[in-house]
Amino acid sequence: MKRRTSLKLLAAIGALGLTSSAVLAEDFPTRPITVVLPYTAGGATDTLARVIAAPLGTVLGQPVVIENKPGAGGAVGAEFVARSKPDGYTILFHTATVSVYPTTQPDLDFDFREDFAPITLATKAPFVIAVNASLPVNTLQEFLEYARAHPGELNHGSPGTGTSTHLTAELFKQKTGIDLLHVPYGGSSAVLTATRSGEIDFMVDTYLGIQGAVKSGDVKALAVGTKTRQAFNPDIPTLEEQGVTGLELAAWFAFSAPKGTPPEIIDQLNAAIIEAMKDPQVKKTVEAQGEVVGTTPEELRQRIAEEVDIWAAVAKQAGIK
Amino acid sequence: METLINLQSGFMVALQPENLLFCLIGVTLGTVIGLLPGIGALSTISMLLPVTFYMDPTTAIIMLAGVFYGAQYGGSTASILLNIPGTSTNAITCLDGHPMAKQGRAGVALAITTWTSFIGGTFSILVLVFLAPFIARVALQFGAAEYFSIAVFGLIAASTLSPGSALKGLAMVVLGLVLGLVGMDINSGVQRLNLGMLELSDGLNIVALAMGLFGVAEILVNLLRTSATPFAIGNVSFKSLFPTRQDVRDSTFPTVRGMLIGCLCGILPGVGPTIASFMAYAAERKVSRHPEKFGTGIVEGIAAPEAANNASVQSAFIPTLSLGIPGDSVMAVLLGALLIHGIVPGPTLVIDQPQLFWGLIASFWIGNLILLLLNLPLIGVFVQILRIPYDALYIAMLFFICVGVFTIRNNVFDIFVVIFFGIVGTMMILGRYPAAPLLLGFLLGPMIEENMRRALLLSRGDVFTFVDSPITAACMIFSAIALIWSFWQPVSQMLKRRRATPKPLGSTQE
Repeated sequence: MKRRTSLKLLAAIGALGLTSSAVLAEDFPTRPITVVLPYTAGGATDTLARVIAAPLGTVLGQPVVIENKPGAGGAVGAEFVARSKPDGYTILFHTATVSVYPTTQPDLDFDFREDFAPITLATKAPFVIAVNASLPVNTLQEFLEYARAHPGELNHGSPGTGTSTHLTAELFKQKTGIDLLHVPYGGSSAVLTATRSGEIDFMVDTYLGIQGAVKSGDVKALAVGTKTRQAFNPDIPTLEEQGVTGLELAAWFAFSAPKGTPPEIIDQLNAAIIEAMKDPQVKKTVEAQGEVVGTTPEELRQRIAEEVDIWAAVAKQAGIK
Repeated sequence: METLINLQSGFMVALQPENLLFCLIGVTLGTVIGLLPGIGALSTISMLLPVTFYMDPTTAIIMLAGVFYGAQYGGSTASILLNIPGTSTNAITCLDGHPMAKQGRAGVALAITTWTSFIGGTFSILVLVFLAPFIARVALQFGAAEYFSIAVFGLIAASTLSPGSALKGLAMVVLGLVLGLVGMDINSGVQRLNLGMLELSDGLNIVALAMGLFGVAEILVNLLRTSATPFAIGNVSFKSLFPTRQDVRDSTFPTVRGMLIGCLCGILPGVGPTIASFMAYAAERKVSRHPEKFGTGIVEGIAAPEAANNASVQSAFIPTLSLGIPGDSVMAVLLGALLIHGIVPGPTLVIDQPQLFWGLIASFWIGNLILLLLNLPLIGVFVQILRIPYDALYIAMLFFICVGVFTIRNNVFDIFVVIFFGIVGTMMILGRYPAAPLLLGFLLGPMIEENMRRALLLSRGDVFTFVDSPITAACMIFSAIALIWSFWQPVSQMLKRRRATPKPLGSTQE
């Protein structure tokens, strides 16, 4: 009898626990949610965040406000969110650059793996491998052969040493064993200008920025970094089709919350973001540069952990400190 | 001929009531934010961008572009009347504009800057109409070595930018170069001089620096000098809005030179209107027969930089529209606005979107005309700003500066930066150290360093890369001449003085 009562009591406590968390999740959100965007207003990442924010507000029943806090490759905004109250009302919209921080900015006050609770990897934008149009190559294989025949003679442009775009290109160079001289520029559009004029032979970037140059024939897009061809330009073959296997080169965009945010709220935000991305306007904006993903929090956590190790190894081999 | 027909259809698009209305809204807003120190075109356009998601793309770009060039008109007003630049591109206009206001010629100064702004803008629009594709191709040929040599030439010109002690000017250039080092070095990824602060890892912000040195410093200095009515307010009659024959004569060639320099600076990605206005001012001092009069309130000193910055913002559309290459951050945001609407700027834009391309260009000129008609009658109103008690005016200005620099990154840190440089600037004014060379050193230093290292990487370490193209060779020769000339000039003046006053006997001890 006694045992029974205690069991009942336990069940009751359990039920109470369940209801209280259910109530908590039901009560969320009761006020506007701030999405901190660690990049400047008006850029490609900003646009994407704003396009997702509109239907997200509808799904959650509360306005979703974008707050730009740019600086230090996104670290200023990330640090701000890491220090915010973990209640789900302040979350971060970020890029794959967070996986590069431990390698290039080891003295930051936060460790992304420790201090954040991932929500979802929302969308992906494959990197496109592009070369100057006057190079005598038309396919990725031809380019690799040409580069191997002229080691150290071709120039690789990047938007700055240690940026995730730079490390992506270094990873590609290391996997394919080609030797190109790295020349850093102050931003992606400067790299594109140099690639058009022939100052630079090889670059990688997402499709959004380079599409004009690809269409006009000023640069040749040799491959997309994802497993499948992309809707934005199905004529560009994948890496795998051209014999470069086991490599995915893609930028991605994700939401994360400060560490300690209740898991129910994380799950609720995860579901709401995935729901919001079904909006046709979101789909249209995303497909201009890639695809909608929408992973679980755990998948995003694993992805970041894996990439941190990959970039550390790439940087070490490339001699970047 | 075909161009003229296209242009005519462009005017049809631009004159549609909706487009005309948003053009008016854009340029008016631009004038206002240009007038307010600290709040610039970049933050305004970024804030307006989400609104334009739901507009027709042509209308949206007409409005956003209007804010950009409208701000150039408004910015000079604050420079002239208050000695506080409305935007960093108008900082140099303070040097001669404000002394003119002090002499009671504020109305004339405002009229001249409005007219030269209009002429500069119109010139670049014509270049955009007739030569855009050709010029864009030529600009593409500017590589790292060319940028390096142009920046070196600009820096040598900068060392003689301001009146007064040449040594102090040089010291300020060097200080500007040091400040330009702050932040991440893109070549190595190493952080330099950031004092361990994350907020400094992208370098100092040009707006915070310029507003501190010119704006906050001016306010602090005036608070130190407690004088009740600092200068006379001249009468602004309708007649005084039109420059006198002498003014026209004095400002014609500076305007022409200014607009040429500005147009060139706008076409080259990464140079932009601020460098354009400083270069134009420096060039005027170099070619002037009376360089010592600069800084005392002469029309040459305001005509050239104002023609230059307006020409520059207009010609900046050439690489953006015809190549899809944004020259500066404002252009990058406008490019983003086009991309949102699925429009890809590039060589095919004229063919794919003739309505947008020609409509936009026509709207530029209409916008400039509106600005001219808007600004001239308002000069009388603007001048009345001087009647506002200084205490009230300065507190308001300080407030706008702080709000302005805060909006750039939504970061309180930049407010501390602007205040810090306000104090530095105050000490510089009191010690008669010019701020303009500092700003140009700050802008050109990183450009010189990055492009030198890049050029050497590309040439695999061959230093002859800096002289082997016609552009680089010409720039290097001009730089050498300017350098020798600036050393020779004081020597020759000294010799002339000696010859003029023969040494009295017995003074051989010198």
